[in-house]
Amino acid sequence: MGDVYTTSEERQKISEKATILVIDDEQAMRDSCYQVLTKDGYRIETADDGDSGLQKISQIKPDLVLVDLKMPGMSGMELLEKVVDIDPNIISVVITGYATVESAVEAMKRDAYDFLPKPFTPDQLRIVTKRGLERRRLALESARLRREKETMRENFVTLVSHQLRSPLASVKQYFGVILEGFVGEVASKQKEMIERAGKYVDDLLQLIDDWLDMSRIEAGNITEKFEAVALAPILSETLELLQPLAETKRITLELNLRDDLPAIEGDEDTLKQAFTNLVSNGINYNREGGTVIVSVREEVNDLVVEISDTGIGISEDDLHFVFDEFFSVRSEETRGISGSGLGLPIAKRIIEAHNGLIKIASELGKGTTLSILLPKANQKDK
Amino acid sequence: MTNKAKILLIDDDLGYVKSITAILESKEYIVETAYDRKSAIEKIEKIKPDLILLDIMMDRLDDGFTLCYRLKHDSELKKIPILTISAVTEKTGFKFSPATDGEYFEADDHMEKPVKTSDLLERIEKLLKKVIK
Repeated sequence: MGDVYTTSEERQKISEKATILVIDDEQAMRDSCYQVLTKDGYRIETADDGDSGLQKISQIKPDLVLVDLKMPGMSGMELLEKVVDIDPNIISVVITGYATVESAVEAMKRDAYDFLPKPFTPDQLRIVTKRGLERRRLALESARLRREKETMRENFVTLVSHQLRSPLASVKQYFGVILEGFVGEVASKQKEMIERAGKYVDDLLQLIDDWLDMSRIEAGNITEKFEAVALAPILSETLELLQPLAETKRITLELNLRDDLPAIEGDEDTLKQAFTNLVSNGINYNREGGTVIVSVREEVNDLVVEISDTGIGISEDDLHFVFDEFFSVRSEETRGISGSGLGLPIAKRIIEAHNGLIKIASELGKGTTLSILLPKANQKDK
Repeated sequence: MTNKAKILLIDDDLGYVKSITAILESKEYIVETAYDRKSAIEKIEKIKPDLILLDIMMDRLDDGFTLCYRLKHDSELKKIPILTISAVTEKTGFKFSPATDGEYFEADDHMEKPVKTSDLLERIEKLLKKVIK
């Protein structure tokens, strides 16, 4: 098993940062924990009940908390829940004279890291403490690295976008200046070509924006902002925004859903983005005067959103590729439709980051239906 | 009245400067240019422009910010209206705007590249009118 005593070097490293709080109503227990752990170089604080324990946690911000399950007043279980509320990164170790499988499971459900049944030897206490603190160190380190990575990525994105967008913006500006006659008269043939060229630039700018969206939607980023959100306003706002686009092809947008749908767990902004991409596909690949119907139904654990269009449909072969990045169907009918080919992949990533699923069914010449499954928000009170 | 106004255009992109100059000169503004932060400061002190068009990212990520801050915290120079223009947008990482970051970004107005000619000229006129008042 190895040496249970920390080497003086390790002690130095850990004790520089580690503060341990012992919450137990028994004086003898508090004293003996104090004796044992102080020898290993940690800073030890004690509290004799739940309330004073919580106060101390807010004050001294310990790395690890030893919690007795059976105390008068606030129970250890209740205390564990409150610790998580104050700081989910504090390591909790439960100590108890009534060790049962049930209580162990209950404690773990409340994010306890470890379980130490009384009576325990000093060595056992040391091992559990050391393990808990190591876990704490790793958790803090990974949080720091994640933040660093995020900052680097943000800087990268800003730099790349500047390098790519800036020259394109200049080209567009030039075209604008020429077309408006600031540097001389423009013949109609020249005007036409310059306008065409401008369209290429627009497409490229759109592609860059879409690509940057893709790189931003890595699961870790958006899940942090998750909360219970209602689908109804998200969908109705999306359709409202796309109304002008629909009108250019005389397409009708329809929304069918109950007023009292339960909430789903997610991030409003990215969901809006996903549905905007999906519904605009339904519009762009549709016929003149067609319809796009968005409906929501409730299932046991999820809400299912269906987006159906009366468009040109997708061939069986192409269906395999529609979620691939930069893929767009190339056919007689789609020649006029522009896009980066990233609309569907972006939507898919967003849906999957929401622990959802997206499925597509289509018949060439008839239309396409997308089914999006999104888990309902937990009943657990947040 | 505002036609003879002196506008200083600060941007490291030569091509962009040329296109904006064409727009401004069509309205008979007097256009001066500077291509980096240091020469910009020198020019400002020398010619005392009536309005400044300022790019955000030049040699360094925050050149525009730093310059804007410096100008707005100078008792004399803070009177010059600043219209910032940038190719970096909110979507691509630029999270600041005078509307939401007041104390950190005190530009009088902000536009994204490429700008609509009429829009640019309108906003410049508005800012110049404000000063005269």
